Amino acid sequence: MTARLEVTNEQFCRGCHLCCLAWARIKSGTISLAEVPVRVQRDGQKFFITLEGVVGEEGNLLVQRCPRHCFSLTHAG
Amino acid sequence: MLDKDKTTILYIDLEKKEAEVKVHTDLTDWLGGLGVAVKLYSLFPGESPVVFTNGPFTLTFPFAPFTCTIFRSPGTGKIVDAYGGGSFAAMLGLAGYDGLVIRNKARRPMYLAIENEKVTFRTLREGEQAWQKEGLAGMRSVLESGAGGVTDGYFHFGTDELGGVLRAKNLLAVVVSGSHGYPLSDLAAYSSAYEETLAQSERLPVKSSNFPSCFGCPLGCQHSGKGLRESESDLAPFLVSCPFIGGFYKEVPLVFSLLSVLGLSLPHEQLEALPLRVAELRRTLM
Repeated sequence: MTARLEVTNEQFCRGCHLCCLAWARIKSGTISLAEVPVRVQRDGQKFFITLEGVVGEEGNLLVQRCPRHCFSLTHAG
Repeated sequence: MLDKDKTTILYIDLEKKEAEVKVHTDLTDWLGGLGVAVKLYSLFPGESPVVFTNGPFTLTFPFAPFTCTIFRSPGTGKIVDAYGGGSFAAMLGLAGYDGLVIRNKARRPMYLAIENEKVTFRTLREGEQAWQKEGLAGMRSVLESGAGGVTDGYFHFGTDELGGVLRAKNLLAVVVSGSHGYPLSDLAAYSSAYEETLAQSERLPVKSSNFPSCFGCPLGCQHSGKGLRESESDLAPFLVSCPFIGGFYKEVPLVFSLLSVLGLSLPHEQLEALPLRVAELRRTLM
């Protein structure tokens, strides 16, 4: 499943890899560098991130935010 | 450094263009970083290798993203330790290595590409920078040696001398890509300790900013690109933790407990004695 999340601040990824590490722990229970399948899209004045495969069975987001807070994410449906 | 009993080192001979992996079972009590680096350097009397090491927290806990390097200063003849942020230490770990030892001198300018177990020596034409296309996208780190020192992208190693030392070996760049994963024996205990440590970021003397972040660090602080030449005599250089976070990893009980979560159980006394033990070994290298 795919989550579409609105980027509510205007910063950019600083390369800390915290999301990759968090995603790897969730996905495989390992310390590794999982590729977080992120796509950034622009829609008018707003930016959206699409995260593929990060929605759990109950519709909850498994990675809810950027751990470094570069991106503040709100579920945009 | 995620195997409690083994330390995996990649040895490079630039002259012979040979790479050899050795799994040491007698290095774990040197912990990592400066301890392992000094011990490895001592294995080559009469030579001047350049040694890079990561530490036990490089991939596992925040605020320990630095790479330790030691080399002989061409100016003073002394052994120098220097530290750079970025992701080189992490990529070395994800490629399966706790350290990299670079010996001798290449006959012609070249770069080294390390992709997990695969090591490639590539000779360069004058002015060529072919290393920029090497490695796995998003999972690589590129060390470049120049007149202004050694950099991992934005991140500097804190001394201009290291660039000259590597260039004198005709080594212009080292690209490391790693895609290995390490299973955790107790994921719940680890995750709890990890989140607890990460939550301390607001209490550190370094403030979060919008500079590039080192691997696994949420701060992106104003110091991240600086690097450091010569460490203090505490546990930080053995963990290769960030030198700008004050006393956070200087407390032996905290370090002991985090190491225990990883299954690395060095006795308190051994941890406390490590800086002195390494300083004594280092004196013999002068």
